[in-house]
Amino acid sequence: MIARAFAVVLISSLAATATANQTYLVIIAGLGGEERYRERFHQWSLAMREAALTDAAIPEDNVFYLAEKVELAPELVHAKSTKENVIAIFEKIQTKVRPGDQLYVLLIGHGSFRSEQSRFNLPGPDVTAEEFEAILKPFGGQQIVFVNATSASGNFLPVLSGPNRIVVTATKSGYERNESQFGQYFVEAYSGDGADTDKNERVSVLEAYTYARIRVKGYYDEENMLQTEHSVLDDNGDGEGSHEPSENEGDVAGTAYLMGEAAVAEGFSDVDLAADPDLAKLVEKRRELEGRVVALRQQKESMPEDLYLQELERVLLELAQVTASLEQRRQ
Amino acid sequence: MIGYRLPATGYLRVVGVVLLLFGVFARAAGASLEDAELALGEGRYGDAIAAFEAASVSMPTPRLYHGWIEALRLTGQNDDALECVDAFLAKEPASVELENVRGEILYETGRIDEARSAFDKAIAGGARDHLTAELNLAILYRDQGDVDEALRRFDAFIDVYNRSSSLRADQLLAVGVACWYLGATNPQLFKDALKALDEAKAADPTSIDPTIFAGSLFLEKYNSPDASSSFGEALSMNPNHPEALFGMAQVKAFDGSSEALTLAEKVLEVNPNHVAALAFVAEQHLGLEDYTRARAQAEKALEVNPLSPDALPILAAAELLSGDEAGFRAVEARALERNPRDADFYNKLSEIAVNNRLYERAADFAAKAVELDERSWWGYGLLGVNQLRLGDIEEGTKNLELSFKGDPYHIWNKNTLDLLDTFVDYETTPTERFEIFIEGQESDLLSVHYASVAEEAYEKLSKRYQYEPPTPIRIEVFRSHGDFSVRTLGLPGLGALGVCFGPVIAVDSPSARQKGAFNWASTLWHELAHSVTLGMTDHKVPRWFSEGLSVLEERRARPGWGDDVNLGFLAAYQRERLLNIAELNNGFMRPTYPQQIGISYYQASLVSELIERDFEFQAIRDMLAAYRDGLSTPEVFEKVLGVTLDAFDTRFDEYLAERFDAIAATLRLPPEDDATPDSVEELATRAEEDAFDFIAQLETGRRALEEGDIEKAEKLLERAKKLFPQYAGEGNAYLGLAKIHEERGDIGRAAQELATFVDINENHYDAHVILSGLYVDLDEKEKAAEILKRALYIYPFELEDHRKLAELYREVGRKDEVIVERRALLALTTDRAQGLYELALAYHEAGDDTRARRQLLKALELAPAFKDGLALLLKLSRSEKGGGA
Repeated sequence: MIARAFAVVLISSLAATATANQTYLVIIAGLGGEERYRERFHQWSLAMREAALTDAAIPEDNVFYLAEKVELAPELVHAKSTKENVIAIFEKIQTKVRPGDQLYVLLIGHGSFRSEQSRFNLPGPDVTAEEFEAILKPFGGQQIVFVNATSASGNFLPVLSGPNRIVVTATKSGYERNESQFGQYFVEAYSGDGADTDKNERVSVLEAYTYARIRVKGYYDEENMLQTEHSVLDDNGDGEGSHEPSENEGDVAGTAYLMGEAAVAEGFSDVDLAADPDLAKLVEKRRELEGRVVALRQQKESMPEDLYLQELERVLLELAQVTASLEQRRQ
Repeated sequence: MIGYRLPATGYLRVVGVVLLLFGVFARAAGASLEDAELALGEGRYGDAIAAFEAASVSMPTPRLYHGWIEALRLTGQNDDALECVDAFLAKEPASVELENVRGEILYETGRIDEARSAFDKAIAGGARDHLTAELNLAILYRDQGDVDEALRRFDAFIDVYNRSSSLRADQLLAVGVACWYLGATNPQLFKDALKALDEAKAADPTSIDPTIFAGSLFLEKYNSPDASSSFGEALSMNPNHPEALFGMAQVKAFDGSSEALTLAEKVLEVNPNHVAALAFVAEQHLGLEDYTRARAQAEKALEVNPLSPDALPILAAAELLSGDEAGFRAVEARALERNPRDADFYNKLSEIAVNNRLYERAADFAAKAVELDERSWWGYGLLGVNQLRLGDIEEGTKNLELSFKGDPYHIWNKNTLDLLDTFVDYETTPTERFEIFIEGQESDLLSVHYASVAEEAYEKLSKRYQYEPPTPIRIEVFRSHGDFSVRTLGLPGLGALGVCFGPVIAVDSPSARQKGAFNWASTLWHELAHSVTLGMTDHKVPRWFSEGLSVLEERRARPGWGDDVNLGFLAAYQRERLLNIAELNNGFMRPTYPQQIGISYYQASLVSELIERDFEFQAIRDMLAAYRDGLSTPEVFEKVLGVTLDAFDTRFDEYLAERFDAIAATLRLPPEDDATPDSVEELATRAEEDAFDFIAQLETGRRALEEGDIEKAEKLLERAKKLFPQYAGEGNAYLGLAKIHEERGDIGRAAQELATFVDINENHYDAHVILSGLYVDLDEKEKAAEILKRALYIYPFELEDHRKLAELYREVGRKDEVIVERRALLALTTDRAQGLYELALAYHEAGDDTRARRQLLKALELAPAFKDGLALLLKLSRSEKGGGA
C-alpha cells in the first residue's frame, strides 16, 4: 500500500514532465448475440468513451471504438468489430504511437473457451488470446493496459502478461463461462463517482479494477447468487493474476491513468504554467508535499506515533494551504 | 448426549446367540419348542412363555430354559426368570449353563455380589457361555470403579479374537463389546468393535443382538442415520424387542423428534420394568420441568434396580432441580457407593443441567466427572462446551481438544473446534457492560449498533427488574447461521435466532439470513431479557415464563417488536389447542404441530402480560424470586399471586376471550381436516355475502387490487383491516391500502397505513424504507429518521440507508446520531478516505474538533490530494487559532 502510493508521486512527476505522453484507447464491443446484449455493450462502450474524452481529456483522435454494428452510432463507431478491422485499427495506431505512450484496450462482450483456447467473440471469426498477443507485439515501447471484460476471459492473462503490461480479465479462468457483470462496473469506475479512493481526481487502473471487483461481489450478494466470475489483475508480468492485488501486484496499475490533458499538471495547461512561474512553483510545491506525505507514511512504523501525527499534520497543513492557493488561482 | 450404558442392556442381548449354541438339541426338541422359539423371535412373548412352559415338562434342556428365561426377562418378569433358573437347577444341580444368565438378572436388579458369584461359577465350570460371563465380570469391575482391572480383562478379548479363526457368534459379540469398552483408551478400537459385531451377525444372521449393539454403537458415536437403520433392521426382525424399540427411542430423542417418548412408552408396554426406559421417561419429565413426576418415575426404575446407573442421575437431578440439595447429596452418595469412579453419573447430571439452562452447574458436574475418570472424553467435552457457554474460551477450547483427541467421532465437538479455529477472524469490542464479539468484516459496522441496543436494554431491564446481571456479558454475533447453530448446539440446524447462556449470548448476524427474515435488535433485546430472568432465578425460571417475559419486554421496547397475534394463534385458540400453564413448556420442548413453538411464545407473553395487568409488575419480580428459591410453578402462583394454577388458567381463558373472541369469530375457519383451499370464486362469494368474513374480505380485496379494481380493493381491504386490525402478516390489508393511497397521490394516508403496519410488523424492511421516504416527502424528518433507524434494526448493510439517515439526523440537528451513522458508513464504504472525511465533518459539526482532526488525518494519510479534506484541515486549524469551533 505504501509502496504503491509512493509510486503515484513518481508517476505524477513523470506525467508533469513528459506532457507529450498520450493514451490511445481502443474499445471493442464484440458480438452481442441478442439485442439486449448488443445495446448493453454499446452503452458501456459509449460511457467509457465519454469518460476518456471528458474526464481524462484524451484527444478524440486517440479514441477508437469498434462495435458489432456501425449503425448503432455511425458518427462514433470507427468500424464494425470484425477480426480484420481489429487488426487494422492496431496497425493504424502503431503508426501514431511514440515511446512512453499508453495503449489502453478494453474488450466488452462475450468470450468463450474451447480446446484450451480463450476467444473474444466477434462478428465473423473470433480473436484468440494468442492472436491478440501477435497484434500487440509491435507495441513494445508503450505501456499496454489490456482489459478483457468478457466471460471466460481468464486465459487471456497468462498469454498477454509481460513487462510494461497491465492485464485485467473478468474471470480467473476460461471455465467461468456465465455472463459477466465486470465490464459494467469497470466502465462505471471511470464514468461515475466513487472509484477515486485516493482523491487525486483521477482513476487509476487499480482503482477501477478494485471498484469493479467489489461491485461484482455486491451484485451477486444482492441477487443472492453464487459468484460465477472472479476477476484477476496482473501488472508484474509474471503471468499470474491476483483477484485482490496486494504486496506483489498492483503497484504499476495503481499509477496507470488514462493520460490526457486533464492528467497533466493538476488541470493547468503547459501554456498556463509557462506564463505564470508562481503558478508553476505552486504546482511543483504541491507535488513535493504530496511526496513528503508518502515518504512520511513509509516511515510510520519506525516513528513514535505522536511524532508521526505531528509531522503528518504539519505537512498536510502546508499542503492544504498550497492547495487552497491553487484553487484560488484556478478560479 | 446419549448416555448409553452397555451393562444395563448388554446382558439381555446375548441370549439370542445362546439359542444357536444349543442348536444341536433343537432337532430333538420337537415342534413345540420351535413354536416357542418362533414366538420369542417374533416378539409374541405371552405365546412363547406358555409354549416354553408346556415343553419344559418333557424337555428340560438348557436351550429351552434359556428361551423361556429370555421371554420372561424381555417382558420384565425378573423374579419369574430367576425361579426358572432355579427350576432348571433343581433338575440339573451340577449344571453351570444358566449361571451366566442368572448373574445377568441379578446384576440388573442390583444384586451385585450375587451376580459376581454367578459369573464366577459360569467361568469356573466352563459353561458354554463362559466368555460372555468373562465379559460380564469385566463390565462389573468397571461399574464398581475398578477400571484398570476391567480394562485388563477387556484387553484379553483381543487375544481371544486373534488366537482363534472360528469364533462363534456369541463369542464374536463378546469380543465386539469388549472392544467397544476398550475404545475409551484407543478410539480405533471402535472400528474393531463394529467389525466383530459384523462378523457376529454374519455368523448367525438370525440373531438380533449384533444388530442392536451396532445400532447402539453408532448412536454413541453420534451417527443417528446408521443407528436408525440398525434399529430399524432389528425391529423388522422383532417389532416388540424392547431393546430395539428403546434404541429407536434414543435415536428419535437424538434427532429431537417427539416420537421418542411414544417409543419409550411402547417399550414399557412390552416390559414395564425396563429400567432404562423408565429413566428415559423420567428424564423427559425433567426436560419439561415437572420434577415431581420425574422423581416418581425415577424411583419406579430404582425399585427394579436400586443401583441403576440410568435412574440414579435422573433422581439426583430431580432432587437438585426441585431445590432439595440434601436429597441430591443422598442420591449422589448412593451412586458413588455403587461406583466411586462413576464419571458418567456426573456426565449425565451435566447434560441434564444443560437442558435446564444451568450451565455453571453443568461445568461443575463435568469437572467432577473428569476428576473421577481421566478417560472420560464425554466429560471433557461437556466441560469444554459449558466453559465456552460461560465465556471461558481458552479453557473451553483446551478441554474440547482433549475430548476430541480421545473421541474423534464426536461431531459436535469437532464442529465446535472448527468454529473456534475461525475465532481468530473475530474482533472483540468492549463497552461499559458488554464484550461484543463479531467477525472482523462486520465488526466495525455492527459493534456500534449492537452496543447501543445492548446498553439501552441493560439499562431499562435492570431498572424494571431491579436486578443487574453480572457484567461483562459477552455477545457473539455469527455471520453464518450454521456457525451460530454449532456454537449453540454443536450441530447445524437450530431454528432459533439467538440463545442466552447467561453470561454469553449468541445470535445470528443480520447477514446470516435473508433481508427481512428477522429483527436483530429485538432478538438481542429478547436474549438480554433472558440474561435478567435467568440471573434473577439462578437459572431456575421455567422456560415458558422466561420466554414469555422476553417477548413482553420486546413489545415494551419498540413499536412492532415482539410476537403479535396471528392467524395461527387464533386458529389454535379457536380449536382449543392452546395449552394450560402447567403444560406450556411442552409447547416449546415437545411441539405436536408445526406452529406450536411460535404460538407458545405468544401465549407465554400473554400470560406475563395478564400477570402484570392484574397483579402489577412487582408480582413478576416476586415470582422470579420464588422460582429462585426453588418453588414449583403451582407453588409460585399460589404464594405470589394467591391463586391456584387452575384458577389462573380460568382467568387466562377469560382474558383470551376478552381479547380475541371477536376477532376469532371473523376467521370462519374450515374444519381442521379440510386441507382444500377455498377457490377464488368461493372467497369472492363469501366476501359479498358475509361482511364479517375476514379471510374472504382480505383475499378478495388483494385480488381486486392485483386486477386494478381500486375502488373494490379499497372497500374490501378496509373491511378486512377493521375486522382484524392486528393482522400484519402475509398479504395484509395495510400494504395494499398504502399502495392505493400512494397511487392516488395521497402520501399522508399512505404513510398512515404503513406507520400502523410497521408498528405491528417489525421485520418488513421495505415498508420501513418506503415509509421513511414518505415522511421525507411530507417534510416530517424526525419521523423519517426514526423509521429509517428501525429499518436498520432489520438490515444494517445498506450503505444508502446510513447515508440518508446521517443526512436526516444532520437536518434535524441530532449531531451525535450523525456521528453514529457516519461511523457505520465508514465500515461499509469502499471509499475509506471519503468515509473518514465525512466522519471528521460530523465530529466537527458536533463540536468535537479533536476527534474530527484525528479522523481527518487518517483520511488525508490515505489520500493526500483530497481537496475537501485539505480544506477542512485548514478550517480546523484556523478555528483552533481563532479559538472558535
